[in-house]
Amino acid sequence: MKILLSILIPIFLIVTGFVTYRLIVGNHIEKWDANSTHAVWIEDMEVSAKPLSAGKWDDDGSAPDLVASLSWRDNVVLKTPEASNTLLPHWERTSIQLSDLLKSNFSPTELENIARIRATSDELLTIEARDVDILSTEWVGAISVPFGALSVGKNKILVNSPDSGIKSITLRIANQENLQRGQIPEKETTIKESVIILAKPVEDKPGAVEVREVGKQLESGAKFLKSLFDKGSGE
Amino acid sequence: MTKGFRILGILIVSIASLSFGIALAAPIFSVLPGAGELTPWLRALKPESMLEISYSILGGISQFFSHGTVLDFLIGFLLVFACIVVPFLKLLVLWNGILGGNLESNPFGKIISKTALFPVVELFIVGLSMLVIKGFPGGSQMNFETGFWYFLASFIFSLGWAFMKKTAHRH
Repeated sequence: MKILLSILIPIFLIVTGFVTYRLIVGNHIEKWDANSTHAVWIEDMEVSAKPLSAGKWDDDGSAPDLVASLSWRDNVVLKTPEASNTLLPHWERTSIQLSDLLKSNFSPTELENIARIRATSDELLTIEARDVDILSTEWVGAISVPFGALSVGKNKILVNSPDSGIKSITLRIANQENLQRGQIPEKETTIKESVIILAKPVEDKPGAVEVREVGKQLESGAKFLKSLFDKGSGE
Repeated sequence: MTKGFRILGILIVSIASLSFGIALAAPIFSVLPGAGELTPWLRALKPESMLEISYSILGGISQFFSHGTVLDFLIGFLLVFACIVVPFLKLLVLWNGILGGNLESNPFGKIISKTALFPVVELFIVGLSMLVIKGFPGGSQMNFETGFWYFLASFIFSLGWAFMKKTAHRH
């Protein structure tokens, strides 16, 4: 009996320690830390089969050529390379652009497609996607999420809205220091709530910018003539 | 053995047993690859090959068995013996002593008792890890992780209790 107990007790305690550790580590999610600098990058996206404006993405029937961007504090902090002819774009964390090769020298950090962000939990991160063609770009969709909803690891953001061409986004977040040490957390979190769907921005019609510029020039010319006239009548 | 001394023993050996369980689950060490001056370039150009890799005792042993060569199997068995069997037998013997059993009354128990009180194997593992940690080329680094410290704690607590028991027995 004592021999049986001296076998069972250590087995029970060893299994308890083993299972407890697995449960604690398995359920631990590292939330967004406002005091740390995080590396954020877009890994995957899914866009709708048709653009919001109906019709086809491209005239030849091919899928969109997608470029995604991250904006924080009204600044674009990351723009991905173009993912051609796909509804499921995937972007690597590092890539070499032709423009990099044309430079006389460049550092390895320039090859990283990551945004470095240190933000409070209530600030918003905006993710936007556009279909980039040679002569024009078409808006696909945009969403905003508060940083507090994001976790370190893989964040799968589900967008179930007919008002957005983006269906889902996989956003990777790593602590900047840990990323430099080669640590990329793999823990996956799904975000359905607190996703704000952004409306299509009001865009200028073709030639509107030029018309506005001409208007400005005319206005400044009129001011100049008026000042001359005022001077002349004063004398 | 007095009641207080027995309770102290239960406490110490319970901690040692739990620590050993955690040590089996947690990563024991991690390796951060390096390639000298080319490290930042390789991290940028081939990031997946430069990621930090963590090994747990069970994960590391299962890799040896999955490789399939005779040498790998032998190393795998050696690691199972050194990192799982011996520490478990040691805990078994310590628990048997606390419960007042007489393990050495049969020949099999005698073998277990002798094997378990042989801490050289665990010392060998700790010593080997210490040596390996300093010897990587190209700036690669090996770091001890949570599991190693729990393994060490289990070793120290079980050895400490065995020492305390022996000292008390002499007096």
